[in-house]
This record gives sequence, structure tokens and C-alpha cells, in this order.
Amino acid sequence: MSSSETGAPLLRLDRLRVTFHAGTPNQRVALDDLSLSMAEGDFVVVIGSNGAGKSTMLNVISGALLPDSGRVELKGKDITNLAVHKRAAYIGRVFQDPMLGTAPALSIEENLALAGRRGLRRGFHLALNSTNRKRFADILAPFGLGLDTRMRVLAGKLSGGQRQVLALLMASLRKPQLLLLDEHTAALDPATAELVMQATRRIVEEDRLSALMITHNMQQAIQYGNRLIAMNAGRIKLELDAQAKQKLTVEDLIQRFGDASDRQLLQA
Amino acid sequence: MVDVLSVFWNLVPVTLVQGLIYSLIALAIMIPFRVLSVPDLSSEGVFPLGAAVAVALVANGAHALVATLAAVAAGFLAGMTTALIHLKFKVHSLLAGILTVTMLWSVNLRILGKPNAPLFGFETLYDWIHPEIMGSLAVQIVFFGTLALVLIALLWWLLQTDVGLGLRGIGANPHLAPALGVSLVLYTAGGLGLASGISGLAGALMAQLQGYADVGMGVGMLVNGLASVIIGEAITGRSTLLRQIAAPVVGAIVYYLLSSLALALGLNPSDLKLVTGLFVLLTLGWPYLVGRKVIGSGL
Repeated sequence: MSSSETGAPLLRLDRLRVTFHAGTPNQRVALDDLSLSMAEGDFVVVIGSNGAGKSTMLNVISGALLPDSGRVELKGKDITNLAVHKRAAYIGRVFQDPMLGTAPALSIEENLALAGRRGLRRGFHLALNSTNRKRFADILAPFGLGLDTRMRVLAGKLSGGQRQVLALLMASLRKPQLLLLDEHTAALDPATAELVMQATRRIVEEDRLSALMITHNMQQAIQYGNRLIAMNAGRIKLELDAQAKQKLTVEDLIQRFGDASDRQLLQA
Repeated sequence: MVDVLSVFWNLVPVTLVQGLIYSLIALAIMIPFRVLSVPDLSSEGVFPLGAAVAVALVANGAHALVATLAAVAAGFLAGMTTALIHLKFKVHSLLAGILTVTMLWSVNLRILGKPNAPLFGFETLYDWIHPEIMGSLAVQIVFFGTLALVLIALLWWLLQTDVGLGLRGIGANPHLAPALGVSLVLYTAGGLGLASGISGLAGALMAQLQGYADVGMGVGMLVNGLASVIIGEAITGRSTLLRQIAAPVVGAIVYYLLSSLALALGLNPSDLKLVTGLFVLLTLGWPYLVGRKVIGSGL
């Protein structure tokens, strides 16, 4: 895919509709004709209560879930029905569960080598050599986790925070057109979450990535990103641009879009 | 006691040959279980498939090397069939393997034309490579030992390439690998195909060595292979990729030596499968029985 299609936004979601358990008493509309457009360089933060459809939206963008109707376009190209492993060429993703973002039975450097071929043909060359070993260590070093000297340690031996930083690097090792962050700090303690968010900012800024981040943390929602979206019942309830977002305080957010669960989270 | 030892001693050379050939099946069982985390039972039917393809082709005038390679290819296809049943029809991989084994029974009978087909009077792979092989157990041990070492080395190399890392990636984290561009279908099919190709090779080698193919020759191979993998991993451990790959071969040699010892001690050959089954069961169940492991999937 080339970026030459003039005028096309980076990401365009057009009337996405997803219904779970259709035709049963448990029927639930997860995405209700959701539309969203994202420009190149945008860092969009998505908030909303549980069940608002945030993760469903990310799953539809990543291809893990196919919508009942609607379109997903990336740089003007229709990717609505493209298989996960194919659209992986354009999209990097970090999962909420630190267990999901890395391959525990592979070493740190093997994880990076696996991620380093995202969107490229895999052949029968040795995955690791002295050149990319050094490159991977150099990439890890600035994050101060001490992982660059332990490159042969299995990812399964790392802490949750270390794994999420590794997962972030894996998702961005080959610059994705879009980085999806699915509550990637929710499973971490506050100090570690802060560390991972700093790593996120560093990666997004240095690589000039476009990112879509879901969070439950109101502080993060204020601190990060240039656009803020609040979702409810499968729709976008409110949208703030960079200007409006700058004036926002945590109290504002809670009063305007928060719900009980978010308030609890914030106070915890 | 001296009798037992001398009987066992006489069994050792032939047991080593047997163990080395069956070590290929153990390798073929280890790959789905350990590398892909997609447990697969296809070997039980692919082993006789390889034997049937090789014997049928050689008996119809094909070159032994071509027949052996065709057996590998047939195994590869059978493994891919299991993978596609598993992934496309959403059938558990174990059940998918059982379906493949069941269907292969008919296929193998079709290929052979009868339950047991001899291969006497035709040039086999061994005759073609070196006439000495058929005449000497010592040469056979060297031949099959070299083959096992070459296979270990090839697998070790393969699993460190980008493709190999993709195979290990889908085994280590089937959610992550597709998000990194690894096709679950392609790599699972390729991985199970690779494993079954090795089983097919084992069948072709065994059939040409013993001079016949039998549709029943796969019975019990799977549990023997599992026992080999378990024993091997107990000896070599799984701390490095090379140890993991060498484990099935080491385990198969030890398992078949233990079997011969048991037979020398007077165990009825027909009781061997029961003993092996109990051994596998006990090894898998032991951590639960003594309460050291509460959850998990055993092997």
C-alpha cells in the first residue's frame, strides 16, 4: 500500500456494526454504526465504560473480529475483510494482557526477531545474527530495564511491565502505519504503568507513529494524545480535539463522561 | 541373571536400529506437541502410509529414492490434512488426527492392495546407497545414527530461521503470531506437514529394511513415541532448543533398549503396550497424584 492516495485519511471507520449473540436473548449491539476518522500523526485516546465497544472497535481494526456491516479503510484501502496476519503489515498492536503481547517460550531477542519480520517475507535465513542482535540490544537499552544485557532470557521470565515494554517495541520495531494500544497498562501497578506510558510516549514521538489507545485511566487520557474520544453503547458520545483537550482536567472528565467504575478506578 | 544379560546383549544391536528408526516418529510427535503446541496423533497412520507408498512404488518399478521421497511427500500431505481439518472445520487437533488416521487406514489398504505386501527381489534404498547396509547391523547402526544426527541438525537450523521462528511463534503464542504477520493456517499446516513427512520417512525406511509393508505396522507407535519423548526430556531436559530437539532421539533409543530388557527379563511381548501405556499414564499423572501440580495440560 502506498501513501500516495491523496486526501484519504489514515484510518476511516464507516458505520461499523457488530452484534454479539444475534438472535438470542443475550443479543447485544457492541458497535452501533460507529464512524471515525483519523489523520496521519494523530494520537487518539479512547475512553468509555466497560461494554462501551472500545475493545470491539480495536478488534475490528486489527482484524481479530469481522464486522456485521460497515467498512474499515487504511490510507484509502478497504481492509475490512483482510486476514489478521495480512493487515499486520500495516498495524502494530499491544494487548492488555502482558501474557499476550510476547511469546513466553522465546527469548527476548527471538521475540524481537519474530516481530522484525512483520509485513516482510519470512525465509530460511537464520533469524538472529550479530548485526541484528546488537541492533535489538541498542533498541532496548534506552528503556533502562536492564534487558539489553539479558537478551537470551525467555520473555516468560520477565515482569509484566518489562513484557509490555518489549511488546511495545515489538509492535513498533517495523514502523506500523497505525499502532493499537488496548489498555496496555491496565494490568500493571501504577508505577510500572507510568514507566510503560513513558516508553509509549517515547516510541510514538520518536517514530512519529499514529496511535489509537484505549485507557481506563483518566490521568492518562488527559496527559497523552492529541484527540480524545468517549464511547458509550457502541457509539462515540463525545469527541475533543487538541485544543479542547488541553484545557481538560480530571474532574471535568469524570463529571462529563465518567461513570461509577471509572471513578472507582481513579480513586483507587 | 547371566542368561537375561546375554539375551539382552544379543538384542542390543537390532534394538538400536529399531530405536533409531522409531526415533524419527518420536521427533514427529515432539514437533506438534512442543514446537507448535498443537498435539497431533497422525503419526499412527502416517507411518504405515509412508511404508505403503514406498513399497507400492518400488514394487511397481520406481527408483527406491523416488519412492522414499514420495513417502515423505505423502506424509507431508497427510499432516497438512490434519492441520486443515483442525483449523478450517474447527475440530480439536487430537480428533482431527484420529480422523486422519482412520481415513488413512482405507487409503493405505488401497495403496497396498492388500493388508501386507512384500518387497523381496527389488532394489531398496539401502541396496542403492551401499550393499553393505543390509548385511551388517553395525553398518545399519552407523547409517541410521547418522541420519538421526542429520535430522536433528537440520531441525535445529530450521527452527532458528525466520520461518522456524514463525513456527515456534505460533506455538508460543497463537494470538500474537498473526498480529506479527505469521499466518496461523500456513504455519500450522507446514509444521504438521513437516512432522508427518518425517513419520512418512520412518515408514518408508522401516518397510524397506524389513522387506514388507503392513497396514497394521503403525499400531501403538504413537504411545511408544510419547514414551520416548517423555524419557528423552527427562534425560536431556528442555532448557535449550537443541536439547528439546535431541530429546526424542535419545528417548527413543533408551525406550527401545528398556523394552528389550523387559522382554529379556521374560515380559510377554503382547503385554508391552500395556506396560508402555501405564508408564506414559504414570508419568503424565504423577505431578497431579502427588499434588505438586494443580492445573495444566500434562504433556
